[in-house]
Amino acid sequence: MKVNSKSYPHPVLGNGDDLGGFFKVEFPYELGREEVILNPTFGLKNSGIEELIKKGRASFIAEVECRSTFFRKSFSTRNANERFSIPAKSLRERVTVGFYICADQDIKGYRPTEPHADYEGATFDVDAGDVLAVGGYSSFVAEKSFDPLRPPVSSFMSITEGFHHEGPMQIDYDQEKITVVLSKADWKNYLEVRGQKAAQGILHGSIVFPTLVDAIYKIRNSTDYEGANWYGRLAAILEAKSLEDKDEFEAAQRILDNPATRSLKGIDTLTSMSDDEIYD
Amino acid sequence: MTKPLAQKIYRRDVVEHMRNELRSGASLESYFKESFPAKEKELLPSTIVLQTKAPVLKAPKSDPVSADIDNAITLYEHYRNLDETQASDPRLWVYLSHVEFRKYSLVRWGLDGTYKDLKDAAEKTKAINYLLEHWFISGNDRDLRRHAIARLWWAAHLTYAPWESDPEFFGDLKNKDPYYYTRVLLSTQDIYQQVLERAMGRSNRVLISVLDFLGKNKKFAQSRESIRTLMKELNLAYGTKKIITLDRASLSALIEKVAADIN
Repeated sequence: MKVNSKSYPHPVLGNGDDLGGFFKVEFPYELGREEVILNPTFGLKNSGIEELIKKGRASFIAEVECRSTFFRKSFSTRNANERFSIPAKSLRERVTVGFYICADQDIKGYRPTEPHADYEGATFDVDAGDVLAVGGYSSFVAEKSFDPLRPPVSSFMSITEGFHHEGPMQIDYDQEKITVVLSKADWKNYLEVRGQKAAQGILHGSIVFPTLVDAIYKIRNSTDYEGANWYGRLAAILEAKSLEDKDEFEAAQRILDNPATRSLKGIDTLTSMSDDEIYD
Repeated sequence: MTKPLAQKIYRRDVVEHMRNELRSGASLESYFKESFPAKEKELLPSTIVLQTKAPVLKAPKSDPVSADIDNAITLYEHYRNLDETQASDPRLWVYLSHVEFRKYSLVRWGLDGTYKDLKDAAEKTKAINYLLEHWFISGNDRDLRRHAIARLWWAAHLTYAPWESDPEFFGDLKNKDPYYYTRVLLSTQDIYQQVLERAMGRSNRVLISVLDFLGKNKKFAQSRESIRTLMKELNLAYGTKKIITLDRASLSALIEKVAADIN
């Protein structure tokens, strides 16, 4: 779960070291044909905020946003475990979910518990809607047939023929999918081998792997492509496979299941087979 | 009774090919022509079932913007059964702008003059980028807001009778005209752009509440700068306050307060 530090007009749990304690969210979800179920479990330790929730003056909030369908909605509860349902037709591609605890009403003279020394003894006037705790945000891909744990590479990357007759391959990130553009000469050779099972590992190693390393680098170092479908899918895969803290080189190899090994096996298979055997 | 029709859409690879052809400049000249026959092999029958043939959208050459409201309502009435997932599919909208509603798209979102008027590479690149923005979609809401046809459908969909879609929140706004808020949204280009271009606009509660304010405060709504500042301030407030969680009275009061501070 990612958390971005911000400057709030009052101390907020989870925002740096503003307050002692924690606000953590476990976030399983189910992608059904008719509905998407969010099933967050809120873990809270801060006596002051716990008390506000108990007294009905604050709530746990899950804010769901889908940029593909103009969807932005908040779900509210005071239960530590809740089940929210969203019609599947309302979501498409990448969905972001942020977790907060917000004041349900104006709270005059709010005195946070376990504050950082800078706030010791201070009181604040908090308004309804003000954030009291941040639990970070997460995202998933709302495609019912798309399993982020077993992603087909074709779900976020495609290979096409370019206008140049020969020369190096190019990458176009401005499409729905990352598009690898091959020269006409390379494309012709690609067409001849792409149906061969044994060639898949070689193609992954020589074309997909370097592209994926570059794409992961783009995700981590640029916000230019945040709206692109490939960005959402690849980000979800990195998160689902817990590869967020791995470097690009290792993360890409994990996603492609060791392309070097598969390439070498593919070469071995092709060199030991006759032409009649290589298509399946 | 007319036999139900399956809405045709382009195949995905065809859309990609068309986009590449335009990006390279190869098809740029075709965007000055009314005729753009689609080949059957390029199309797929979608799961969208229509009871009648596509309507004709108004395309007055003198003031095409003035027809936006009527066109949004006409289009939405025809495609009322679309759900949000279908309505964010690039294959549908690219087909509609290039084929079904081509005449309208050319008048409202076409290029001025003739192909020969594009003198140099810079002018051609500018024209290509403009067409890519209004005739194609990549899949996010920014593209849907700017696409020639999708923008009309979404403008109506996001604002149609909110008291029906969210009666608990908007029950007191019930109006005889289900398109009241569509009319406010499309009454000026500035309102449409400033309200929907902001992330706030994705929240239907915030969107309708802002439009309700603008509908009741016409002088404020006529100032592009005021609307822009209002949305900017609401976005800023959103950084620390989840205004999406507020009840209707509190949200309306907040919008009024922010607007009062602007004037």
